[in-house]
Amino acid sequence: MVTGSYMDYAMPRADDVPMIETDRTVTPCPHNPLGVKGAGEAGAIGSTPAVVNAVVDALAHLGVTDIQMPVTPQRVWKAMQN
Amino acid sequence: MIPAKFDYIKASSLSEAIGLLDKHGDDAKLLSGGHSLIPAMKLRLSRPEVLIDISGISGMNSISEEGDEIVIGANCTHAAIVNSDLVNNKLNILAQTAKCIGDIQVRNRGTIGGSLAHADPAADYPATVLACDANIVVEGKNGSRNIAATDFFLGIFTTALEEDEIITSIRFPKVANGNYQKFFQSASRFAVVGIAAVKEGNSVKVGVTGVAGTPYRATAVENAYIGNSDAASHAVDGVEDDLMSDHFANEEYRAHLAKVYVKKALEA
Repeated sequence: MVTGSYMDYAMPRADDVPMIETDRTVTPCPHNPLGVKGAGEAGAIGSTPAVVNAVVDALAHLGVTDIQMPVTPQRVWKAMQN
Repeated sequence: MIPAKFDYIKASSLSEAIGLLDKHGDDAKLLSGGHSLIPAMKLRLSRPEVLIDISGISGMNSISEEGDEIVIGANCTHAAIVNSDLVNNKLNILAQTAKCIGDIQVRNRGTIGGSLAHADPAADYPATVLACDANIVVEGKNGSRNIAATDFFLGIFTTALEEDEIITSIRFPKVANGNYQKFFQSASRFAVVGIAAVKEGNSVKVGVTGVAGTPYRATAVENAYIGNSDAASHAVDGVEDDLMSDHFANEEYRAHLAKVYVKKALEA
């Protein structure tokens, strides 16, 4: 068990989060009377591959094609060495 | 988790606290800010049968100037050190160090004496007291004595304090040009690597915490700096067999970070 407590699992704190500017586009779903869509999954499922792919993209010029989560500083450094 | 059962005694004087420590030996632990001890007790890594609360003892939480020295009472909180005009003006490296500890809540309770006595290998102050050549003033049943910072840290959670001794203050020479650089563990905010550098003319004193089981003066770096060679590359000379390792950072990565952060500190 790698993250047995909050001493190892980095729970984001207020000062870890940048200022976020929000905006909206409104496109109702045509398949239900309220026009609503599920929203939580985009953050939970979509964001992780986006971030990992960004790391791989940043290291691509060094020949890195893949990196395993958790993408710790040590893993990034190791990937850069190989 | 909750701590194991313990008795609690609030000491009203230093002599009472020393007497209690002497009486209870290793069944007792001192309580100052509690922000190293209580987490350890909650994990049951520490199970003192008696807690001796010294936080209320008068005369141990002042910050003063005595000649060429700045004297910090052992019960001074990290917050008091960060906010002290005297420290910011004449010992700024210590304010920089204290500001890196934990978070605001921890800094409002944790004390410098408690942190030094606890000697966590990932604590911040050890690098700085070593680089400043501070003196740790302690009192026990045989009276008072000074322990040089370079003699104080003996190993993981191990110091030169005798069982009956209490840190009363820490005496620092004034430092005009010092800086503290830290690589924070993202979750705990402990020092994976913490480097304190005090520059005096063409020479430097470098204290290192987080890297090895025992915090150390990077004398190989200090010597190379005078000769102008690549000083930072010597960051872990002499401690290769004592490097710390955990899930977040292994020995190899820590050695690398030490060199990077020594370079930052030397160039700051």
